[in-house]
Amino acid sequence: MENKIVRLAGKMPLHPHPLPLFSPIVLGFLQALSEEIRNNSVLQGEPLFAAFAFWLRRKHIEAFQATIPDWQNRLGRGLMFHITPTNIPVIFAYSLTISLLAGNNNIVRVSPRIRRAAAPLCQIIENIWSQQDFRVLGENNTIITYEKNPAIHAQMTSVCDGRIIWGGNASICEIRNEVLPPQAVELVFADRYSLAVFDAETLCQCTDSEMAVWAHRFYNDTYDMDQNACSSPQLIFWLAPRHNDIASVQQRWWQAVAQAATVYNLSPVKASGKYAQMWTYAMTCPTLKRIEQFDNLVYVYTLDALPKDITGLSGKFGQFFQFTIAGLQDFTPILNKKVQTISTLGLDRDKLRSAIIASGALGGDRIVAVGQAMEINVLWDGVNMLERLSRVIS
Amino acid sequence: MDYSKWLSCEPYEWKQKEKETVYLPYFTRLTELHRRRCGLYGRALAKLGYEPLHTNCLQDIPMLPILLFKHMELKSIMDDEIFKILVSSGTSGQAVSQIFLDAATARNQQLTLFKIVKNFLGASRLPMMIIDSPSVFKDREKFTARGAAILGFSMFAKHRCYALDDTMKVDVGRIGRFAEENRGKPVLIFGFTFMIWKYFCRALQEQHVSFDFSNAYVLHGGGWKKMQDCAVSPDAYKRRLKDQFGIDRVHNYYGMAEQTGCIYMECEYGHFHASIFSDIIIRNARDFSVCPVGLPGIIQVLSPIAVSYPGHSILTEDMGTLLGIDDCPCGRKGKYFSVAGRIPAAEIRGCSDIYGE
Repeated sequence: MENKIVRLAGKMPLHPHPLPLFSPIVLGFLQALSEEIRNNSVLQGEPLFAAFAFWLRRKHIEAFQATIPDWQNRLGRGLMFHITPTNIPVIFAYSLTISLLAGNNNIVRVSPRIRRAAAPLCQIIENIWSQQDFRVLGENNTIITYEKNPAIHAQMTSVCDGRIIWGGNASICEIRNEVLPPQAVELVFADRYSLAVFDAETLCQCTDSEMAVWAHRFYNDTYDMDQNACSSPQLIFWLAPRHNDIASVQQRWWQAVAQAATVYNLSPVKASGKYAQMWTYAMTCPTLKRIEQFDNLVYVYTLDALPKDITGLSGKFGQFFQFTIAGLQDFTPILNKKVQTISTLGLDRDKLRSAIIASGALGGDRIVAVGQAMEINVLWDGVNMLERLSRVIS
Repeated sequence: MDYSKWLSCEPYEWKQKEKETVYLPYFTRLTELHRRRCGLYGRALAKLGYEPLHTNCLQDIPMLPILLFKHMELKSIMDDEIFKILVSSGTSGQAVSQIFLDAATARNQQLTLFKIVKNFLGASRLPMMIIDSPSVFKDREKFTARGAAILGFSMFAKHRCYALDDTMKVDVGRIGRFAEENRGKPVLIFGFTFMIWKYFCRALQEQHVSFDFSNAYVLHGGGWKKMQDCAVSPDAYKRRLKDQFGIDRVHNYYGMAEQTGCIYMECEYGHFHASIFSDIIIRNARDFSVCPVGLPGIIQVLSPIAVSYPGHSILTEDMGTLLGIDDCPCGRKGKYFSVAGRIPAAEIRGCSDIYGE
């Protein structure tokens, strides 16, 4: 088994040295990083990295303080070991950033599969950490890559004060075989499922141009990541308390989505995979009423009943299931623990949250307006990461 | 038209227009037959809102994604009518396609193949050397596409000779005897594209032996993917057979287990031809609109033979380009095209497959 560790930035931390939350050196580093990405000829044109640079802007970072009112009484836990996703080459940087804000030293493992895509960003980080002002960070943090190897996972796990795993369920179980030190904490981000709730009346009232704006935001939540991100909605609930003509507003909506999706790169491999998935659902999904196609860009599956577990209803590259409900009481019972993000359109967030709490649902961690599903937050999968990754001195 | 009458026609004599007037009513009826007889297929058509009355041209016939033969048992016959189940030759661990054949469909596949290949080889049966191992038939449980192709082409054999032994090693002695016995007479050499390259051309070269097969026809198929991996172009492939064995008459063919029999033979000009026994439509990935001559797209294949299973209209996972209609310099009528190989896989974004590398 390959057991070579390649260092992409920083140095292996030898003596963990926690920092306060939002420490000036970390904030300074993040500002420098944001600027460097925006000035980098390779990265400035890459939407994923440009979005990260924008996310790092000072005001936005400082706004996270409001999520943790006692942050000034807190200190980092020590050394965090991150195992980060293979196919979005920027999540590792979000994971590192949040852990730095929580005052930790870090070992961040990126997969060899995304090494090339992540290399420019790692180089920028390395350059900043070599500067006099940020040298301390470079000595206590490192980004590394190595082929999947339980022995290295075990070695890193044995010295850490916390482990963060962004992984598929099988990978998480595998990595969990490596036992953490007794006091260490763990954050896992498993396979999740996301959906949306639309208020039919709100969309009925929309003008065509308003509809187009919503459709464009919805496009960003879904097609941007090939609808393959955990927080991208798969199933749309149409909240229609009165039995008005729901079909016509649905038609208008999907046409607007198809219009927004004309910029999507539907390559032959995606079109073919999507088409096969559609036929498979057509043959095997018993609760399917009808399928509508808007070219090959949007496939819409209208359901006349819900299966026991809704999380099997999922497709990539622009496939959406839809189901009409009369009220939220029809919605909360289907929220099982795999459900993560609920994107809403025309719904009151507090009202929906209260409904979830009142119903005692096992799932549903995050309510966002359509257009914000992909935005990474320190609050993720129902946990405040800043809180979990730091300790309060009471 | 009755398929037996169809078989009495010359394979490349129909002009495209003429062909489509036969195809449209035939395929509309065939779709209806499968809709009634294959439960899964019928259910899918209902959900997809297929309306037979709105079938105005051949491109309106629904196309089934080829992948589904790997995941679903699709048949339009009763279980006691199953004559054999053809499985595609996938590598170990991969799902394989299952094609359910009744006796009539299997027979029509054979007869169709015979008509097509005869057009290229002439009528007489030839001594045939198969660049494969007889062990391909060892597993009697599974009727693989590789075995099916060998059996199918064996119809043209006066007698058969396998060039490889059970361990896939080239049998120089046997090849030598075959060359000796048939000196100066036309022979047929058949095999999969990559196997001919690896187990015949390269294996004989490594042993520094050479034979004169200037009297041979080479027929090969099975796809170009592995050849692309070793960076061998179709031209280089042909040149190699010419230089090493003196072979001029090399015909590649395009075909698949899901529509056995109606293969697309490559003519003297290097074009794949649709015979009267099948047709292709090139589809734009974006909306499945029909691509005109010259524009690459996904290949859809149509076969009137597929009666026992709903595979009369299939969307393949191959890319190709229509080169022309009715006007190939070789004189064969109908559509002719090129095949670029499997749809290129691309990086798919997302976070569901995170660590499993």
